[in-house]
Amino acid sequence: MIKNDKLLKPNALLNILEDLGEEKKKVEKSEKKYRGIIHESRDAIYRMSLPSGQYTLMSRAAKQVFGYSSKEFIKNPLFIKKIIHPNFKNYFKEKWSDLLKDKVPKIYEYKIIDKTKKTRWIHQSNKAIFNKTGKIIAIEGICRDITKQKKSEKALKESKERAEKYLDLAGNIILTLNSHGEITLLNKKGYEILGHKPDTLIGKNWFNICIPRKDVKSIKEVFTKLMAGENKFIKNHENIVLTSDGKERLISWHNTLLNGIPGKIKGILSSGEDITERRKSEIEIKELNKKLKIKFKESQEKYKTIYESSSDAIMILEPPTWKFTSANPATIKMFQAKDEKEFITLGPWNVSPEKQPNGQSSSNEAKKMIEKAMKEGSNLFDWTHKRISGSDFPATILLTKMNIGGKDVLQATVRDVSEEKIAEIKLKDAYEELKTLDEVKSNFLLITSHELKTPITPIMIQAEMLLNKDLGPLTGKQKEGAEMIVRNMKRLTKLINDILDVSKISSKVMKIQLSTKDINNTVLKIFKEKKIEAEKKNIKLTLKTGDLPKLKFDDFRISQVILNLIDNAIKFTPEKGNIRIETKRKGEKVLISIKDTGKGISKKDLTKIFKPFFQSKPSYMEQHRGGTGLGLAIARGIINNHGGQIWVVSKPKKGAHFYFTLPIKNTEIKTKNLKASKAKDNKEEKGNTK
Amino acid sequence: MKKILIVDDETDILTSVKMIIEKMGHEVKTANNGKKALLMLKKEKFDLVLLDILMPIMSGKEVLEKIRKDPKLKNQKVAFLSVVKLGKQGENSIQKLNPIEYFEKPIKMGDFEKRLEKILK
Repeated sequence: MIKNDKLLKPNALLNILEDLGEEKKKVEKSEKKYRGIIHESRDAIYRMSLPSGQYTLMSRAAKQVFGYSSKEFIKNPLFIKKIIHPNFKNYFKEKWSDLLKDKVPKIYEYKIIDKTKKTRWIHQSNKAIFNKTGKIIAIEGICRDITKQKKSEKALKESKERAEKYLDLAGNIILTLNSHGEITLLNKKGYEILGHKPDTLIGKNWFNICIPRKDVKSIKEVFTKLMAGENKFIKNHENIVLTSDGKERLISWHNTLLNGIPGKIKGILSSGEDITERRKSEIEIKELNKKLKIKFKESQEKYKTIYESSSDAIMILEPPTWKFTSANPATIKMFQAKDEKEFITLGPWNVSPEKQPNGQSSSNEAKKMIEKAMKEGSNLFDWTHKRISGSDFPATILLTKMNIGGKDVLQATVRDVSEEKIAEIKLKDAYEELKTLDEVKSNFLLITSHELKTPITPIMIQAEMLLNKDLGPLTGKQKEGAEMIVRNMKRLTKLINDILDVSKISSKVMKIQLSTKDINNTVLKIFKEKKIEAEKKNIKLTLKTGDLPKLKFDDFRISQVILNLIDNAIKFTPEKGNIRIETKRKGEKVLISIKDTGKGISKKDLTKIFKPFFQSKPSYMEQHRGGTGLGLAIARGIINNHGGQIWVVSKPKKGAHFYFTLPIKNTEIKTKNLKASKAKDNKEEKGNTK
Repeated sequence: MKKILIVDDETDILTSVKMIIEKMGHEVKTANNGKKALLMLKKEKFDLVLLDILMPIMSGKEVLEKIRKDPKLKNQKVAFLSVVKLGKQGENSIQKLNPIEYFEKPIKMGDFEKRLEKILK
């Protein structure tokens, strides 16, 4: 067997050496015979005595293995020490010292330098030879030059590393499965996407771990058939994989079959790309596109409807000539053109008078307006147009920049405002007329009131003198007559004064003169005067004053208000009724109330009683003959002038409760006009109905 | 007995007011415009001038301004008697001229007599 196989396997050789050791005598007998075998071997076979390091055997193959002859080994004890590669000097030292301590490793691997200064890798298998006491006396072994093997090993390792690096660098998942569906390779990207720790999936079943349960059965079936060569091979496909935290990712696979023994499939190599996001955005884009298409269609239809049915003229103007390129039906009607065909031969200046109202030429102005619209995106302005029939009309124009087919154009929307302009002028005229009339009315009232007072003065004096018998004694009838004159003159005077006040309020010339006073004193003074008058009518008049700070007000005018409210209360309260007057502080205001137990005011009238010349009808008139209907309007004007408010709360038959407030910190009272109070009127009227 | 000058463009008013004051026992002279009044004031001494405001030729306000500027007349007691409603204090520009009283037309006799007597004291 050995004879025939010159390239001995190291293990086989060792067995032989073992034989040599144990059955020395037998060996010696047939030494020559074996020596021939040994020297014919391609491996160097040696024996070295220990501890001397003397080679007792080195086969001829030493020349091929080490590059040194066997004689050189035999002649030089520890010859190996001389030829060992400098990098392995320490390795040798270590091993030698171990050897002397009876430690003999089965294999040495080291480098030497041969005669031609080349480096060689040596693989050495060892066997220790012991004496009877168990001490090593020699070492035997086989040496082989493994330089080529080492080189190819190194190249293989490098290429493997390189391959792995490529795998890890790959942006795709690289997966190999064996025919059972077990993972035999998965690159870094694969682990990253699947969310598992590197190298934890090798040997695990791909389908059980990485495929969603619902898909396992069908995918496994396809795979099994594929492995059995039954199915047509699918090069590309997509399926969902499951990550370690249960999320699903969509992977697009590119597959290659791994063939083993011819005719048998060993497994599958797949490269997979994670297309979850891509697919998602693809779907989104598709949907968005769909929506946009619908929207576009809708807006197109809307635009068409507006364009066709608008009463505004809509037209498109295009550069560089800025002539009209399309016009809607309203345009044709507005400009009295024959049809669109005729209209689109024109430019804006063809449908405008030579000059605009500002004196500029229409063509220059139109160019300016177009430039502005192109620069700013839109331009709204007034314009005078000219119909094709020749007549002018005022218009407002909105120019809007638009992009049609990649070209910036302008859409013009023209509105004929002739009627609006006329209406505007009419309204303005009517307003001016009303304003003048109002001024005339106020002045008329002011002047006539003053003028009326002049003749009243001597009438009053003469009548009173008559009554006082200053002009001589009177008969009973004469006295009655004089009394009637005085009574009616007083009424007339009151009416004139009220009219004066109202006209002052409405023409905003009423002035209030503020001084800092205790309003309780003002109220008390009036209360004392009116108490007697009320008692005559068998009405109980009571006053309750609160603790109030001094405030700024016009004593004369506020007295007028309080007097008016109390007079009204006395007038409308029947016998045995009550009138309660109260003053109190409410935050930053003083609140004064006059409450009666009279007939009250109907809901309908509540909103009107503060308006001039209003009188409740008919019940009021029955009781209140001779009232001017101005008292409350004047009161409101005065209170508003003070920055306060006045209102009433009332229900028919339950009496009327009048309230007014005056601000305590009265810093910004408009002493000259009533403008400020105008806005408050609405507020009050709301209050009136509460 | 005091001496009073009434200035008013309305004869009936002059006559009527004169009647009241004379009834009260005082001497009354009248002028139907401001110019005349000023001339009279330079010739005679009056205890009180009752001055209308709205008058032709020269308004009551102008008359009082002249009085206050005249060194001899500047302390003259003057009260207004007018249809113009000025409230209790009167307008600022009028108030500055320091009238002693302000009567509003039409006057009520009793009230007028009381207030007039008061300022004549």
